[in-house]
Amino acid sequence: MSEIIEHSTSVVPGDGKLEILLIEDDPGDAFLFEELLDEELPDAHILQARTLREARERLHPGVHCVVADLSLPDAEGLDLLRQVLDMAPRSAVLVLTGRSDAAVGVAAVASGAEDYLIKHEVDGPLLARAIRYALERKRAEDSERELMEAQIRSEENARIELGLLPVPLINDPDLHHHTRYRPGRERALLGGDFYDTVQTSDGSVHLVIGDVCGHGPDEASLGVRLRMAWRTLVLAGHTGTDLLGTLDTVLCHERWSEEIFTTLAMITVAPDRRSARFHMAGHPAPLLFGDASAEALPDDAYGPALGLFPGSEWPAAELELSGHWSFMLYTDGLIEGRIGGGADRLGTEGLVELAAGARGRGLTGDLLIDHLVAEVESLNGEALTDDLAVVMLSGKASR
Amino acid sequence: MRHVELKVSTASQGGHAVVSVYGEVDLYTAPRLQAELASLVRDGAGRVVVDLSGVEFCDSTGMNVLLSAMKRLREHGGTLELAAPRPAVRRILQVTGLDTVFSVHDALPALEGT
Repeated sequence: MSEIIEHSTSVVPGDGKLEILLIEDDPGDAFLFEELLDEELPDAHILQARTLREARERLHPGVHCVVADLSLPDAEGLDLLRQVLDMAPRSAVLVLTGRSDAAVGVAAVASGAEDYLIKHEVDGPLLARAIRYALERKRAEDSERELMEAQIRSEENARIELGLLPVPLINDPDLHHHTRYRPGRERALLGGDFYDTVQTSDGSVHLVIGDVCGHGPDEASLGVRLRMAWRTLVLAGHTGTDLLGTLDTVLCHERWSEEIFTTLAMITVAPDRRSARFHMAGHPAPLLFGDASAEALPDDAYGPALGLFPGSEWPAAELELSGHWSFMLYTDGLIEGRIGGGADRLGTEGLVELAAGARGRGLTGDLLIDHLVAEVESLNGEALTDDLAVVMLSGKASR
Repeated sequence: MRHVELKVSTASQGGHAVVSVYGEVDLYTAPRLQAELASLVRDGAGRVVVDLSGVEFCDSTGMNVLLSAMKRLREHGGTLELAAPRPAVRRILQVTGLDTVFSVHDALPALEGT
């Protein structure tokens, strides 16, 4: 019985045949073990190998359990065990030792074997029990490891989200700051959306929102680095196209592949809160709310997304502000929802319409954002595919 | 969950290829377009024109796939051009500034030798 058998997809013994690989160079011992196994576990399918090399050839992913003699012609002891564990990471491993070296068995368990058996003391029931026990123990270890990995992943995501979605640095009681971040339909799929708000010593308030194209931990981590770079540059007194040029350079140095681009919108509100200057780098237009109105910022100040052309320029546009005003910056997740059965998407125009309706009903701040996100989702008919980020800054022009 | 269809087909002749795309390119369907373009890059295609006339929507993931294919093709002296984008797709190209990165044709150009 030394044929390589076809791949078995059953991982749970009981669903299919229990696959056991016996690695034993002594033909007498091998025969004995096969007899014992046949008797105690009649449903098991036994593969045999006489050397580590043969074991490597016969092993396949459907093998549930490897029973290995720790003394083979081509390897022995703990070194042999390590090689077996490496080649069969999903199998439970039992080792066989001689009567005189039980200490090796104990060391083997400490090194990752599920259990050890002393040859010539093994009978059928003991062997069967040891195998079942080893399978259970392996399964428990695997689930525990998966659980730990999931916990680590989720903690990692939470940390990254903290980096992406920071506490604003504002010191003006007359300003109100609201943010929202919603992961996309597949929650684990962390996107590269980021935002930040910083007040500088002259009283100006700077807002940014950005979106690293793509989804995943690399994109999210790049988003964190860009946000940190933006905050640092703003605090160091950089603004406008000069700041964006430096950020563009940072992106080009930090990205892992040349096609990674980032869209971004940036607004600076003057200390008297009566004017603002904005820059756009390939990003959907932010909205400006007045006392009872909502409009998209004019698109005459468009520059390209970051990471597309070296030496790009981003023109600035100025806005006069009066009365109560709010800026709402968002990522494309908010405007790429569907608006019916077809392929049509909401777009900035659709968002402006929803926003004007909501403002007309007197909604502001968190309520306004919640209302808009709910409307967008309801039009889409299901949870949005992409993640979305919204940051809103509200204030009042001084007289 | 809505299953969005994306169909991608390629007609090639003498190193020139026209990739016709039908449907919506987003996070879920972009890998299909990526696979098609990657195989053209592997086969050493020279001039690749992506016919976007059948594309109703393309998000930034889709743009990223096009950009990536263009850079890979250029490394081997090839080109990637876009043809006949619908207004919704042209809009995204304009907003991101990608309309100046790609050469964009209003209609599908006739390829020499085809």
